[in-house]
Amino acid sequence: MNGEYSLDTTEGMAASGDPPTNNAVDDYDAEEALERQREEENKIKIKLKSFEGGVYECGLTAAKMSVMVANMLDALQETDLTKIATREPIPLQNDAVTNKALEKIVEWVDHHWDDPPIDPDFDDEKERRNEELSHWDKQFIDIADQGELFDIIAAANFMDIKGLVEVGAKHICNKIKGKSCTEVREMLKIHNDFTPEEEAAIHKENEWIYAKD
Amino acid sequence: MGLQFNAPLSQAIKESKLKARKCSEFLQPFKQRPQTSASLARRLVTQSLGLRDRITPEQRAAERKKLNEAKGAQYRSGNLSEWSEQERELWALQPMGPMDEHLYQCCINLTVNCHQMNGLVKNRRKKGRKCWTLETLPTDILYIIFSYCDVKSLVSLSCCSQKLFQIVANDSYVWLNKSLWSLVTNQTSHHMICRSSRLLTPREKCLTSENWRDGVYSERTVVRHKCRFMPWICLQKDFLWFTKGNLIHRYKRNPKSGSVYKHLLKVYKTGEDICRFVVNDDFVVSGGWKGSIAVWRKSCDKPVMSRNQLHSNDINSIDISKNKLITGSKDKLVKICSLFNDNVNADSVLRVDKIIEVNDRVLNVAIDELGTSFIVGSAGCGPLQPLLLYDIQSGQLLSQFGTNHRRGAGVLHGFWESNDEVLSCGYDSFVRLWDKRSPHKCVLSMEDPHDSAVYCISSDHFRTVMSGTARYGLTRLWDKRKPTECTQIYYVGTNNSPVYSMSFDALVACVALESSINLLSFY
Repeated sequence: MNGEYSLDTTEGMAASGDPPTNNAVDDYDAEEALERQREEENKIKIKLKSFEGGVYECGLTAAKMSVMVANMLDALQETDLTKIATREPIPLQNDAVTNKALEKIVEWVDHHWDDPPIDPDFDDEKERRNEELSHWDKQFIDIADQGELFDIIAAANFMDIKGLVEVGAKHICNKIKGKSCTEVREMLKIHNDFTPEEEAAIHKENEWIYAKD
Repeated sequence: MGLQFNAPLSQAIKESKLKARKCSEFLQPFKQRPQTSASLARRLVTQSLGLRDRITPEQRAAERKKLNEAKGAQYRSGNLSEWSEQERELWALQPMGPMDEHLYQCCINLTVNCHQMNGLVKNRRKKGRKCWTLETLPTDILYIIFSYCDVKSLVSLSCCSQKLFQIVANDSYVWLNKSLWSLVTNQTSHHMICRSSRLLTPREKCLTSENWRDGVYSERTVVRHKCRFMPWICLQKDFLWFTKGNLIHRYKRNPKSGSVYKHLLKVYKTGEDICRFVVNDDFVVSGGWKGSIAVWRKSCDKPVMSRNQLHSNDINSIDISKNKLITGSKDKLVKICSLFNDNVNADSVLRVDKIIEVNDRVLNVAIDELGTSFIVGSAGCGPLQPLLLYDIQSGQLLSQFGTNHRRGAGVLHGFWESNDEVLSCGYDSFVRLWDKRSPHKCVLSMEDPHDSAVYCISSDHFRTVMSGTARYGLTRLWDKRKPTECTQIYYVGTNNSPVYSMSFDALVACVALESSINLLSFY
């Protein structure tokens, strides 16, 4: 009798004492497992096809940074991920997605695939906006050919890759910053289609901006 | 077999047309049905009736063959032929099973949706495609890029070409997000809206806010006095009020630029010099030397009520809420009075309800927004803290703000920032924000870097505070989000004068110096 009784109590204690520690470990484990799964998935290569017909290979997790590609893959409801790799390349039907642009995009997502995803609830939008570009991003986006740069931004926007659009937008803004209107026009090769009167009026309105410099 | 199921609706009989109209939303487009045979139906009927087939095995085999062929044709070509040329191209389709087809169809729908979402359905031709420039980029991308630009870059951009001007200058969307973060010009609280001569567009907000921040403004003297006064001002939507000795002047404001017209509109006169006055919807109430008090109806020139010797010494501060009037005086007393109409003489009468002994010279009183309690700021030489909270009905002390004040750290000016928060300033060179729910410690403090006393403050009741100091007409702009450093300073006037009073709206700041009233215009 005595032995049975004591057995019961130990069991009860174990049952009541364990769960909280278990949960914490589970959370941590789940996170790590997710991390490992992402890593595994990235080893699977899928093919993306540009508008011009060029096919580029890219890790699955990296490709999923494009919300558009992720949605398309979700729609396939493929349980066996390795099968995705054997499919036809995913066509990207927008003329911004040129061979060069897609090559650059694949380069970018392959570098950034393990970035933590942007969480709108916790990240301070304002803070993220003011953040400087990383050294790698700066070198990546510093492209002499303007058309190519805009192609990349337009293509990234089409593929819905928030991070890359952000990098491009920031880069352009950095270039514009502190320049007068004539300098901006020259840099971005914008055709001036104002009449002289209009231009004078606009200049007068915005004089104060340059007054301090 | 008399009915023709395959005929188009246009050739159908009247009844069919009627029925079709009723259930039109469920109708599917006409589609050629694959060839079938009656073999299944025949088998079911003959089996259930217990009859024997009269069909020969050869006939049956032929029927089955026909059926199988039809099925195969449906998989191979039937469905695929309905796909458009573009869709085929899209996925470079190989022959595949029915399930695959369904899934790919999903994907294609999705792609097409994405196209539409991005506003890029219209495909430009690959050949002869123009190189992108900033102008030819889709507008939604431009919006994203512009959202990262600062205000000055945006102005530069808007000067570049017609299209960019259209997008940047005329479209409030670009400015809207930025204007939410702007300083001074955020016309959010009703106090600020009441004070502003007009409401600004998001673009104006951004540009004007930039001027405030950079200290770009034009200064103008509204009036200059020959001798020195200690003026008190009140800025309203349409008017600027200020004191000059025993007079209150009222000037009209320009509704567009917010500046003040030179023409003097009205003068209110009392017997003694005025220390402070308040303007509410109905009344103008002033308190002055030797305990004198005067009340005007806003519309008429003569005082509806005036009384000398309400206090035995100067009335330093006065506030009114509905019909409750509170006066604070040098004689160390606060009086709570009621103002009501005497029906017999058709005159206003003042009745003193309560007298509170503060045991310290009272410098400031202010009633909260609901009219249930009020703060008293004293000279900081008495036994209590210099900022106190009283109940308006009972006159009881509710709480003291802060602990361990320095002796002489008097509160010169204070008002209710919101229903729970009080903003105060004084001799100890600090501007402080208090919360009446936790009165022991101040929520925010902004210290004057030059260590001079702060004579007056003004706020937009949101995130901007302006303080007027004791020397050189120095006025400071503070951002509540970074209280450690002053955002901008403005030296007003040319003489070494204290700032006795100041007020601002989104476009202008009005500063009262000892011998002039100056207007800083930021528009």
